[in-house]
Amino acid sequence: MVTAVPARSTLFSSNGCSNNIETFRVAIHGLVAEARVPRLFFARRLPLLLAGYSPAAPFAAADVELAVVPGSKRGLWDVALANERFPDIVGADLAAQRVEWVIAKETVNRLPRFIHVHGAVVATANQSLLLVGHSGRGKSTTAVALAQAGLTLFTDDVALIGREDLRPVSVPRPIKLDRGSRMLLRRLGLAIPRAARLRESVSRVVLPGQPPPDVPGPPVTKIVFLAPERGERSELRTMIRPRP
Amino acid sequence: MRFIQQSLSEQFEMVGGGVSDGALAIIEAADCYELVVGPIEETVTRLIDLIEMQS
Repeated sequence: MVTAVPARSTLFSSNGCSNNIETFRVAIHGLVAEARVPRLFFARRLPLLLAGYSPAAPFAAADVELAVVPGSKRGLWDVALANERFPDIVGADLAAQRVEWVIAKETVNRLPRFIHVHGAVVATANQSLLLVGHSGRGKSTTAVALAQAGLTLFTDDVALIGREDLRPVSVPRPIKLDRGSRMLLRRLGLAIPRAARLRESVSRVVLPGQPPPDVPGPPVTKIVFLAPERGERSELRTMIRPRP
Repeated sequence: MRFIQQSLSEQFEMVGGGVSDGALAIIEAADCYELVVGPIEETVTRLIDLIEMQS
C-alpha cells in the first residue's frame, strides 16, 4: 500500500545568487542540472516540480544549465539553454513545467549507459515490466495502480534502462495524474491530492517507496504496449516477434 | 509481425524522437504484449498475473 503525497520542496538545493534570481540545483544519476529563475515568479512553483529530485553537491559543476528570462511581452517567459531556447511560454506555471521537462530531457540524453524510452516501469523482486504507449493511454494511472497493489514503481513516464543488463533505474519526475486518473485510483483506495499552487488540471505527486536512483531493479523481461482503444474488459494479447 | 513493427514505429519512441538500437535490444530480449485497457481493477489483475509469470 502506498500513500501519495503532494509534491513539495524538501530534497533539492536552492541558493540565492542575487536579489532577484534564485538558483535551483538538482542531481540525476551523477549529473548536475542548474536552473536560474526569477525568484518572485518561480521560487514557489519550481519546488513543486523538483520535489522528487536529489540535491546536487554544493560545488559540483553543472552539466546542464538553463535560465528563465522574460519573453517578448509581459507574462511571457523564455527558457534558455546554451544552444536552445523555448520562447514566449505563457505564464509562470507553464514555464516552470518547461524547466522541469528540460532538466529531465537534457540530463537523460547525457546518460549513454541507459536506453531512454517513453514508458513506465514497474517491478517485482525478479522481473521488471515496461509499459509503453502514447500520452493519455493510461501509463501513469496503470503504473500507480500497480504500485498500489504492491509492485515497485521506477517511473511513469521516462524510463531509463541499463544498456548492458536491461535493469531499470528510477527517474525522479513527479507523476502527472489528471482528474479521471485520480477518480479511478480513488476506487482503489488511493487518494491523490491536487497540486495546490500550479494552475493546471493535473496533479503532480511523489510516491514514497520509489527506489533510490543508484539501485537498479531486476531486468525488463516483458513489454506491454497500451492499445489505442479501450475495452469493457481488459484484454492482453501476445505479440508476435518479428523474424530476424 | 506487422503489428509489432507498427507498434515499434508508432509507440516505442525514444525520449528525443525515433526508435533507437537500444529500444530494439529491449524488444529482442523481452516478451511483448498488447493491452486493451478496461476496468482498472481488471487491468491491474491481468498485469500482476503477467509479471508474476516466469518468462
